Amino acid sequence: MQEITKIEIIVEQVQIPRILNLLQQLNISGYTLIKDIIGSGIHGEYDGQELSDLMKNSYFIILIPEEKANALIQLAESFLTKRGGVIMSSRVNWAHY
Amino acid sequence: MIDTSLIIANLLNPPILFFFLGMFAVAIKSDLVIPQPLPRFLSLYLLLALGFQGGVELHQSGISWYVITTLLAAGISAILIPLYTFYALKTKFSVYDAGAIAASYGSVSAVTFITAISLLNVLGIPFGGYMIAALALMETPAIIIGVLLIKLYATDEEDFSWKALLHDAACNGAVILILGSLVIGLLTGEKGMQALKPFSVDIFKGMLSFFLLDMGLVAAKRMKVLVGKSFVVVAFAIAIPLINALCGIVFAYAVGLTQGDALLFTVLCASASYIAVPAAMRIAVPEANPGFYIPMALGITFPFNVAIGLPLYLSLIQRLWR
Repeated sequence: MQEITKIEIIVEQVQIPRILNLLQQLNISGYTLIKDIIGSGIHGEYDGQELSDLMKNSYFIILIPEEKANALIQLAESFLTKRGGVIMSSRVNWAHY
Repeated sequence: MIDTSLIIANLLNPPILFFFLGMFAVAIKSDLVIPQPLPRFLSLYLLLALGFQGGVELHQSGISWYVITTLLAAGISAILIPLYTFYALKTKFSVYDAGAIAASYGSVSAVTFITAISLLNVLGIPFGGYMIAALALMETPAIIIGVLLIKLYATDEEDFSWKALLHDAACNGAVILILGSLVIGLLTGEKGMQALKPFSVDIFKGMLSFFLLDMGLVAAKRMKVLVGKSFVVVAFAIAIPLINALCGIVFAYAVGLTQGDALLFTVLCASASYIAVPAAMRIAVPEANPGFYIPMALGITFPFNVAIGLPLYLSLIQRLWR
């Protein structure tokens, strides 16, 4: 197992293409995406009941080296400031098979 | 002013009663929930069946000057409604919210339209399949006009992709499905209808009832969000559809539409989008507050149109056309 940076991003589902665009800008091709996340936060309740992709969130998990993680955080922060969302980073042990 | 027999016919229509059942379930805090993939499937089914039925009817009736005039009227309304709605809203809302709400009210609600068709079928009033093309035509221009107006009046300049917005608006899944189904119905005609009748006609009302049950659940939840909000928000959510309906009725009369077509045209003018436009606005105009444009369209205007608007508009049309 080796150490790597884990970035987790929670955004409204409608913003998925924009987050994918950010990843593309940094040549990040690997990610895991969990759709239809519900919950509650400073923007109110996301109950997942809308027919549009509003009122539901998506959860990105991205494992990348530290330098790319810093670049992604910088890009994502300016995006999330305007559109809302959450970004988390942590150091984790990682292995892939 | 409203013909009571129309109110009763509308309220005793099973899909409408299922809508109220959904609202009642939320009011008594029932645990009734329609699992999320189902409402999406039902909405896709309704668009497909509606588009197909319209295409078959268009195959039978052909494309006349009357049809072209009707579609032109729909196109003009789709441009004018968000324009004057924006300037009316701008007196009380921020530019961003006014643009997003105007886009929502300039676009259409396919479910309100389908409910109006259901009422016309109950009353035996004929209408043309080309009205479904009018629905598709009126879905997207408001998105572009809403964003244009915001960009015209907003002070901050930010990077914005018109290409992405135009693509999202034109390639909207609902528009593609309804127009595609209309073309398939137009190409296959009566033979196609015979093949798909059990799917696209026989179960249509049952599926609509199931879908409106879910809409009742969602509308009641969105209505709760508005509790405690400004009276202006609620007043606009009722006044806008009434004004748009009146303009629609006058326009339909001037163009010479039949009563059935006039009601559908009026409903297209009076309804507000709560699926395509909110999604587009959230991406294009993140500054606009979805806490306004979603509950207004879904929590107030949609139930108002379905319960009171339809019989009211039809009463006015029947009086004027007499």
